[in-house]
Amino acid sequence: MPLIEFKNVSFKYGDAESYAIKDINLKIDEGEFILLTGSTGCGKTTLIRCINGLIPHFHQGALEGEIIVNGYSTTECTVAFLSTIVGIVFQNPENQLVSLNVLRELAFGPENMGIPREEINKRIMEVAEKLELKHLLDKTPIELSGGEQQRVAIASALTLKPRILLLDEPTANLDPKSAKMIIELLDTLNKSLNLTIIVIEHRLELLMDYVNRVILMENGRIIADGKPSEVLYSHEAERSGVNIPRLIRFFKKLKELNPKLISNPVTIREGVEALKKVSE
Amino acid sequence: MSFNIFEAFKYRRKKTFIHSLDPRTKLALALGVSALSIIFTELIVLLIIFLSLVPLLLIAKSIKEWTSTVKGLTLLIVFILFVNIIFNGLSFAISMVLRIFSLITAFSLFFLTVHPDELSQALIQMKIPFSFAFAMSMAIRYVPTIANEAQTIREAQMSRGLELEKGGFTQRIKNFIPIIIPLIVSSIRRAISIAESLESRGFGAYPNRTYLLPLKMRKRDYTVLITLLAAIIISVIIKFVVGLPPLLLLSIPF
Repeated sequence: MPLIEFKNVSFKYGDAESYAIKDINLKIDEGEFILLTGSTGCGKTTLIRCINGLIPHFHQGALEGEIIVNGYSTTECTVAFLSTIVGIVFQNPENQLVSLNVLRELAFGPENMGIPREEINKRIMEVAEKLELKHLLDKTPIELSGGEQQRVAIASALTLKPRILLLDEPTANLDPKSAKMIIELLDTLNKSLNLTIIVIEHRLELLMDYVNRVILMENGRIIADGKPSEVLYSHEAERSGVNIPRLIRFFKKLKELNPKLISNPVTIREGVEALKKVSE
Repeated sequence: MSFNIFEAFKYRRKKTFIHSLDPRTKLALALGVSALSIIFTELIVLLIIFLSLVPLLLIAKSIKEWTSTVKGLTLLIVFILFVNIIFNGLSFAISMVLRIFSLITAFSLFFLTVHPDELSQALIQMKIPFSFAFAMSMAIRYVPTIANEAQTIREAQMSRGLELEKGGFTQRIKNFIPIIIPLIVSSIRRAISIAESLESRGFGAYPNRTYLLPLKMRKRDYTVLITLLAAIIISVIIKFVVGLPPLLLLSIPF
C-alpha cells in the first residue's frame, strides 16, 4: 500500500472560479525523496496542503476525490491528528517560529499533543542532536541566521515524529551555502530515518544529487512524473519553463550532436560517466 | 528616543536572586508595592517605600535599565511636579513624584526580570486559557519582526518619494498612511501563514496539553511573599488603626 495516495483529486479554493488542482492521481511510497516543481501558481502548494489536511480543514473550498495518507482518509481526520504523520515546513521560517526560544519551539508540537514531559525532552534532545541545534536551544528566533531558523522549523516538525515531511520552498529565503546545507540535511533525514520527503523547489540544480523522483505540475495538473532523468529531459519540462539545470541543457544539446550518447545524466558524476563511455 | 521608556520593560537574561523568583511572586510584589504607595500619601512613608525598592534593583543588577526609563519619563515627572506645586504645594508634589517612582520601579522590576515565556506560563497556571497566554507571548515574539517590516516599507515608500517630515501636524500624521496600510495588509497575510503553521502542529487540538516547563514556587518565593504580606499588614494597621507616629508625618512646611 502506498504511503500517500491521491485518487482523482480536484480542489477549488472558496472564492475562486477555476480549479487550483485538477484530476490528480498520485501514489507515493515510504522513503521516497521527491522534488515537486512547476511555475508559480501551478498548484504545488495546494497539493501539499492536501496531504497534511490543511485542505479541506483550514483552507475552505470544494474538494473532490480522495486522499489517503498512511491508510487514513484526510477528510475524516483532523489536521492535528495528521500532524503526527505529516510534518510541514513553509517558505518563510519567520512565520513558523512562534515561540521565544528554540527549546519551546521544538516542544510546541508535542506539548499540543499532550505527550508526557520526559518523552518530549527525549525527542527534543534527539532532534537537536541530529540537526546540530543543541547550542541554540535558549536563543530567540531573531538571534538566529536564516539557515538556522529553517533548521529549527524542520526540527519543530520532526519532534512530532512524522513519517512524511513536506517542504514548501524551504531555501527561498536562504543564501546558497545555507540552502545546500538544508538540502543535505533532508538527504540525511531521508536515509537515516527513512523519512518520506516532498520538497517544492525552483532551484532544481540543488536537488539533483539527492532526489529519486520529480513531479512536474502545470495549471493544476501533473504533466510529468518519474525519475529525474526522464522528467527533466522531457518535452514537458522544456515547455513548462522550469529552470532546467545547465548540465541537463548541455547534455540535451550534446545528444543532438552525438547519437552515441544514449543516457540521460542528471548529476555531474553521471555526466562524466556518460562522456567517458562515448569517448571509449 | 521615545523607545527608551520601554527599555526598562524589556526582559534581560541575567542570573540573580530576583530573576530566579517565580513570576507570580514578582507580580505579587509589584502589585503589593503599588497598593502601598497608593494607600499612603505621606512624604516620609513614600520615601521609605521607594528606598526599600532600590536594594531590589541592585540585587537584580538592573539599575542601568531602570535609569534609562526614568530618563525617558523626565518630562512627565517634571510636569507632575510643577502641576502639583502650583495646586497642592511642594510637599505634596514631591510625594506624588515619589509615588510615581515607586510604581515605575515596581513594574519595571517585574518586566525586567520576568521572561515573557514565564509570564505566559504564570498566566496559564493562574487559570487564564492557553490561547490568551499564548497570544500574548506571540505578540511579544513578533514585535521585532513587525518593526523590521515597518522599516522596510518605510524605506520602500521613501525611495518612491514619500516625505514623512513634510507639512503641518495633521499632514504629518497623514504621511504615515502609505506605511500603515501595507503594514496591516502584510501582517494579515503573515497571520494566515502563522495560523497554518500552528494548525499543522496541533495547536489547541487536545484539552490535555502538556507544559514542558511548569512553574514551581520555591522556598525563596514563600519567604518573599510572607515578608511582603507582613509589610502590607503592618503598614495598614499603622495607618488605619494605630495612626502614624509624628516622625513619619513630617513634611516640607510650604
